[in-house]
Amino acid sequence: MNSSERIEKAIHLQPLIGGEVPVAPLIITFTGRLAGIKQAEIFSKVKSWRRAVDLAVKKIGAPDMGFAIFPRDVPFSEELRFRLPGRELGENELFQLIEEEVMLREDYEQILKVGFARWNLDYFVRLDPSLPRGGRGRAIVTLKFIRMGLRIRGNAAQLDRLGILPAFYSAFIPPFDLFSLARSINKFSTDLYDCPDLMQKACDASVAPTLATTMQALMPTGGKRVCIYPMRSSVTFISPKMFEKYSLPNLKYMVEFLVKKGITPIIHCDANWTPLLHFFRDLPQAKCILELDGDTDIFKAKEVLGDWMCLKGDVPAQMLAFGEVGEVEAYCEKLISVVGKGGGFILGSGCEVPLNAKVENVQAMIRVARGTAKTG
Amino acid sequence: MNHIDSLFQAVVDGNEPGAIAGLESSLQANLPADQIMKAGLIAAMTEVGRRFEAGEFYLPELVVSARAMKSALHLLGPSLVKAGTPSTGRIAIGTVQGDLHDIGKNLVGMMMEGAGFEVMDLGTDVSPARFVEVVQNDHVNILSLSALLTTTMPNMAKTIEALKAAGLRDKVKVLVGGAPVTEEYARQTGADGYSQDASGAARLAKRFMGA
Repeated sequence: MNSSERIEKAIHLQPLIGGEVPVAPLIITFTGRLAGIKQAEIFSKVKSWRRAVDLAVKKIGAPDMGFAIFPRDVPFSEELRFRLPGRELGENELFQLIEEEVMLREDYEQILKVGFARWNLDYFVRLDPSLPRGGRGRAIVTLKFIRMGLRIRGNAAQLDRLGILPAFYSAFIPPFDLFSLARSINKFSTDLYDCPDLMQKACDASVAPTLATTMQALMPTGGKRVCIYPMRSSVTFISPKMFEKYSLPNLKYMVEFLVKKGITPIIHCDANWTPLLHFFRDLPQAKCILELDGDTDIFKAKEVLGDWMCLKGDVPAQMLAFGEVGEVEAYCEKLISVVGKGGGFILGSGCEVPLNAKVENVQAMIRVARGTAKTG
Repeated sequence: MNHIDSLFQAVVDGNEPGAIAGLESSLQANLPADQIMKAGLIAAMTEVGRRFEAGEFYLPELVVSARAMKSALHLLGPSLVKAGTPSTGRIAIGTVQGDLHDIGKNLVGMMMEGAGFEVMDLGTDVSPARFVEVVQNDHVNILSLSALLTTTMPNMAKTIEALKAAGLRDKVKVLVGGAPVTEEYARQTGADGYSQDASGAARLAKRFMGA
């Protein structure tokens, strides 16, 4: 059974018969560590990045899914200001996002006035003070997106050659979560009290343009998987009532839209989603992947969603960085035997493998998955 | 409802205009500043923290309550100074060297202010030397160190080592926290306390001060 077949079986909640549980640690920046290439280099040169991917696969073996995104495109697509290795940071440091109030409360009105697509380009221009304002700035941002799409196509082709399934071909942050990031958490929290209706109207008006951009981004590759980042909808940031009222309806609409187009949504859920897991039963059955990090109880997720949705996760970053091989092996075995029971599971890391993860711990993840073919 | 009760309730409800009105009416009624502070503001934020830890409140409630509290505290400030009311203690907060994340740190700062602490916010990417300097020169009772990356977590232990090297370790209590930080990791760093959230950090800090 190849990677594609394993992943398809996991998504469709089919038992794995004598095969292997898919394994897909989220490795982007860690590729540089594995390859012995500095962060500054993999962030600045596509060639270096692709060389690093080849070397990393030689070092740890081929996981079932990989990430076809050039590292510098990661902070760019997060829609926040950022600091890069070799630019503002040391040559081998991890990039960092800076959350500031770049979007103002009056931007909700502006979105309703000019439309989300135009506003979003202006927002990208505002994020980067080096860009010219107005039409020229918007054209430069558009060009950056086109180049990013072309890079994804090239990266995906490389992964295909390596026998690795590209995890996704396009990604987006739902409007509710984007506004939370762009406003900054404290300002957005006050919006939920001071002007919830206006915020909601702006969210609703942003859904269709977000989906349209996503579909456009898929065109160069014809890819069939999209990652969704509802990164501010967990109970770490809002209450379950707020999630149900403001975030869930649009998330559900967007997931259903993609599924109807034959696309598999990968819902990347960092932070604590445990009290919200039952809401995911409102999403289409056996059509999505739910990625969890160590903050959500993945064993509870299996209880609530085991018959509904493929789960992916969740070896915690701190375990990969500071734990011992035996600890990682034991945790992966537990995940496979409990969460993987009956199928519907992909062994992954809780969010991105940290830059200071021990190589032997990541190797252990892959080894355990490859050596365990008894689920189902 | 008396003046202090309305102030208390407005802060708990995150009602900023209500908190300002409650504070003004308390001052007009000539209530002592320290009573307004303790029974109105600190008690309200303690209740907010309790509800947060009990899962009745979430981050947005905490933020709007802190906003109401800060606006009222701003108006109360001159009266506190005039009355010579001491703060609960002085605390310096910062995200450790190499780490630019500040959401958690800012929440801790808000809850510490709500607990009556004088808060020195050192910002992000704070070097061990800067933390040492603050302990040395600013009569700080508590240091609160935050980290969001596994790559910067070791700088918590380095900061504590730097305090030891400067002969200041016993002059200050050290609290650590941040999404990837666990209680076990906190113990390994040599910190005095760990909390998984801002409300718990404020409760711990008050305990350190015997408040």
